[in-house]
Amino acid sequence: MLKRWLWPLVMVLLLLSGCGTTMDSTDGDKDNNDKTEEVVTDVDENDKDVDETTSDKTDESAPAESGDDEEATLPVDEGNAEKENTETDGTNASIQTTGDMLVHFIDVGQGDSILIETTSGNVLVDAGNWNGRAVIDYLNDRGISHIDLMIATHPDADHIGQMPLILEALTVDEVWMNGVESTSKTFENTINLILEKDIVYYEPEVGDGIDFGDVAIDVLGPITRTNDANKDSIVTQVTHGAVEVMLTGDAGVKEEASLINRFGDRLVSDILKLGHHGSNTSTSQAFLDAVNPEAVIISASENNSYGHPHKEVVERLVTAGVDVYQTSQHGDIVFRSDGARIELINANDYPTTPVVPSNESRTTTNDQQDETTTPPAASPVPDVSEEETSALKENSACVDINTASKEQLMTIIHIGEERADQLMQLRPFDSIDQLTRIKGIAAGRLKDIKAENIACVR
Amino acid sequence: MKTVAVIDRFSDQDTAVILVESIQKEFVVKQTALPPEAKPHDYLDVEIIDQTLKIIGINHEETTAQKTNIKDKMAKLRAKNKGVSRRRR
Repeated sequence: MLKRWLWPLVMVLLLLSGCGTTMDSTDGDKDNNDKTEEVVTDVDENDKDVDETTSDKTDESAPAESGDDEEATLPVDEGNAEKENTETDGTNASIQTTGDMLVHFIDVGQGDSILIETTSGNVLVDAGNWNGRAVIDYLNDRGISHIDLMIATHPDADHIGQMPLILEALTVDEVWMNGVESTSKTFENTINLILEKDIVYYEPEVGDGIDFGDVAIDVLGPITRTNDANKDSIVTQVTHGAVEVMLTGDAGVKEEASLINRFGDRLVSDILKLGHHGSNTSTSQAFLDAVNPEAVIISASENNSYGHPHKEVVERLVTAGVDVYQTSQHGDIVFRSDGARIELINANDYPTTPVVPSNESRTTTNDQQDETTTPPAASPVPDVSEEETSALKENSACVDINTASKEQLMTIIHIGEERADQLMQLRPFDSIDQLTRIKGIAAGRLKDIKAENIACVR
Repeated sequence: MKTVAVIDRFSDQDTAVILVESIQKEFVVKQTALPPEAKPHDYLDVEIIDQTLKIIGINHEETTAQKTNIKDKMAKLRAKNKGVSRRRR
């Protein structure tokens, strides 16, 4: 169609130039010819331009803090965008949604299961506890009948739990495990099905990776193999453009230290699923600092037998000022990434301040056994209403964000050292609402800050 | 009811997680309640009385048999699929 109107345009140009300068007009003609040909023959190229414009636009709106990562990941992103185009040959509608990745932290009770949905495939990292159905039900509800890659971080029954059910009911292309051999029937049933169904099996090593369109899954651990299930957990970083999600299975503080030594700044991620369900065997201060997440996920049941999440971990999270999502409170937690930023799109409406289980009676039960199929009565989680807090603290000394010291500022929820520094640089603030000017504070955290009612502007 | 159970894992707070897979039950006990030499992935002879678990002792025969069984299957699995993963490198 373009060709049709380009020719008259060429003719007009020729007439206007009056053919006085032959060389010029020939050049012009040639240019136009080239251009015409390009437009007619290279439809894919045109599509690609549109796509690149779109991604450029999204990149611009990326939060400033992910700038470094963005630079590092852009070449990969561009390459994959091209690949995606040739693969999908998509319409405008598909171009809009091509980049989206959904990350579901499924509420499986005490256990882990993370579904990563990309436009080029589904990845399931762990499959919940063995005596439940949460994962298979969730997958069925979402109409997911195929898993491209299933990663079992390690063979404990709270991680591989529903793999037999899934392998039986869904089609699965490939399974990755850490190579530690369990003896449970759950594990045996899992490997039986992998054998029977001729599913690709692989034990990944550091440096391995797999791509699903513009989503990359890189293996960062285990760095050393000990034959201990937890320690040898497969550690993966999911990268989608400038967005990173870190999944460490049940890896402990020693393994976290190895990760820091090996990968340093590369560990920085927007979201961290806390190792070992928020246990104090994981999430060292150093690791939390190294990953520097915006949000963390604690995948554990309420009033579990292990006291997860442990108090010292929770304290670290509070000091770091990260958003804490707990499957025990927030239910299924779903994030959407467009490759530039990741946002929460589904979770129970609940504050992002961590809840420590009231487990005093449990820890003193020494030799008592705890049958997890009949958990102890749940103690209601205190959820102090805004009004109550306001009434309590209205007349007490609040922390004036315009005048308070750094230490005072750090008593406010979600304000750690880094944000306190930023806050002081950004002064003055007209209202608490303006705290969203601080990098990492958006509506969700602002809500928590207001609910806490410590910060004020006098 | 007498049956066998597997020690799936040792967890924190000195706990051990025991699966009685034949009846779909899981018990979390203190490691001190286990025979002293018991390790993760060992099989135990147990008795379930009124929803509580009584540990009789390690079932060495079942432990050895199941370890061998799993080892053989894993060897098969590893041999079968070499080099066909979709992984990048």
